[in-house]
Amino acid sequence: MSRPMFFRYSIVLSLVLGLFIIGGTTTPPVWAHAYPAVSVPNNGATLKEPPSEVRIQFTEAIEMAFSAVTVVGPNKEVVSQGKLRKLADDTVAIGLKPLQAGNYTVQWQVLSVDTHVTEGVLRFTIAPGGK
Amino acid sequence: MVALEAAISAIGYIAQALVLGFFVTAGYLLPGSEPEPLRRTLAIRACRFLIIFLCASAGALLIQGAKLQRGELPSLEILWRYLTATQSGNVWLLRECYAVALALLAFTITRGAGRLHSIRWLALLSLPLIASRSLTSHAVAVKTQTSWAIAADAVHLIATALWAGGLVAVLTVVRASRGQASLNPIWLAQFINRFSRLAFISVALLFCAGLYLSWVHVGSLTTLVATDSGKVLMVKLGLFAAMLTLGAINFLSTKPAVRDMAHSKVINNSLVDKAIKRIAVESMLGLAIFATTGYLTVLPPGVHALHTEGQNFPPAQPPALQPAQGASVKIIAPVNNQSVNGDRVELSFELTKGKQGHHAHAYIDGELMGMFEGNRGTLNGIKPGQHVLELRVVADDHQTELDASDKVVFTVK
Repeated sequence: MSRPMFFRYSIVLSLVLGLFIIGGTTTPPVWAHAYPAVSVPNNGATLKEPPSEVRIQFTEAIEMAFSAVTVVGPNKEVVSQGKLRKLADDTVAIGLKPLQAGNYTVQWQVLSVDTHVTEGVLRFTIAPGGK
Repeated sequence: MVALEAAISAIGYIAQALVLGFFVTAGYLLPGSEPEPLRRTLAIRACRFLIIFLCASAGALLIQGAKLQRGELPSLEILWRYLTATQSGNVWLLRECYAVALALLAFTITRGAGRLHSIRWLALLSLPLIASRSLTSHAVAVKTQTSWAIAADAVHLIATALWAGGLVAVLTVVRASRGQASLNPIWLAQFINRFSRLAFISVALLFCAGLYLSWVHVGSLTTLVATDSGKVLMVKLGLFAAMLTLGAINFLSTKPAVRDMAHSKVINNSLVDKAIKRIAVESMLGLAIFATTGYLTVLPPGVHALHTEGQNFPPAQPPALQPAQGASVKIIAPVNNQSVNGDRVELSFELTKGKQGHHAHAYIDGELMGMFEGNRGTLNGIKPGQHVLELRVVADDHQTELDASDKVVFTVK
């Protein structure tokens, strides 16, 4: 490739990549690909009895080495315990301490097998008068 | 960070396409008796593109590490854990080792005589390098028919590299032939004819694999027009259509003109100039397609956009069941009144999707426990005792449940 030709290629390539950089900065930073498809307790559920674990099935298989689920209670205390368990390629579970009535937040972050990192929050409530 | 990741991904795609395109052109497309240094020049350039590919891959690894470390420069511990403890990290490590070995081999060969059969081997050895990218792409995350999706992605990558990467190599050759009075035009016509055949086969493969992958990753026309991923895919399809049109012009006009020039046995520089311009524009479109591909790799596939949106909505009470419209589900295993040992229950079922159905939700005693896209799956952690398993057909939004379900009673011992 001669120098002028290489120069022209470089300009066009830079323009194309530049457009994508502009596009990238105006697009919401969504890298991710694995999202909860099913969670137990269900997102937003109000339970009569406290669950013993939280289970999440994602839309894609995930990598356990870089995946975490933490459950936080009404007073911001961590109520999840033990290691995150892999139930299937796309499903994980984390154990819970005995829970009282109140609002709970499930913070999750996972790395999917196609290299993307996602994170988010699910919520559930234990109704007063439960065990 | 997203833009940088997309740009580095695009550079990686372009570099690997040029590696294959230049090796294949040097090894298989150049007819014998070519201008002496041309084959070696192409092979040396392929080696340089291999180095660029390695640099882009190193950059991609750093970005991956930064994503895992919340945007900070990744520590060596994070990178090492990623490379050794994850599937995509393992693939990256193996691919880079392979690419380094290929680069060393290629430099050894091209510094020597650069014999034809050695360059042909380099072209063949480049194929796994290109195809291996499918092992970390969206294809690997497809839940059903994963191996088909990976195979289609590999074919797609190779076909694109042969066509678009080969075009840049063709441009190099045609430019080199300009002004060479001693060059036999028959040689040039043979060369164009060989590339034309390769491009035709590549486009056919590209079309079939692309169609299948679009169906897998986009899913519907709605997601094609309503999601970022779908919109970028439409841009890519537009560029593909433009490239295909130009390719057809080259096939129907440039190629016959070069053949006529070969019959006249005199190099026509104005025709060569015209061919150079057309091939250059087609090459640029090819590079732009790689840029869109790089951007697509950092966007969630359209079929997952509904999950992304779902994160922003508070969950609602389950809506009323919608008409089945041809959807149905039949539980095959466990059978009614079956006893199961242990807390794992293997499911097998027949799912008819009808107009709206997409997958099945599994309920144990009325509680949602799992989602299954194929026709089998596993439910874990089921407590001892008698349970009612119900499968319901659900639309692709995971919310709309259809009036299509089946129930069995089973006992966990």
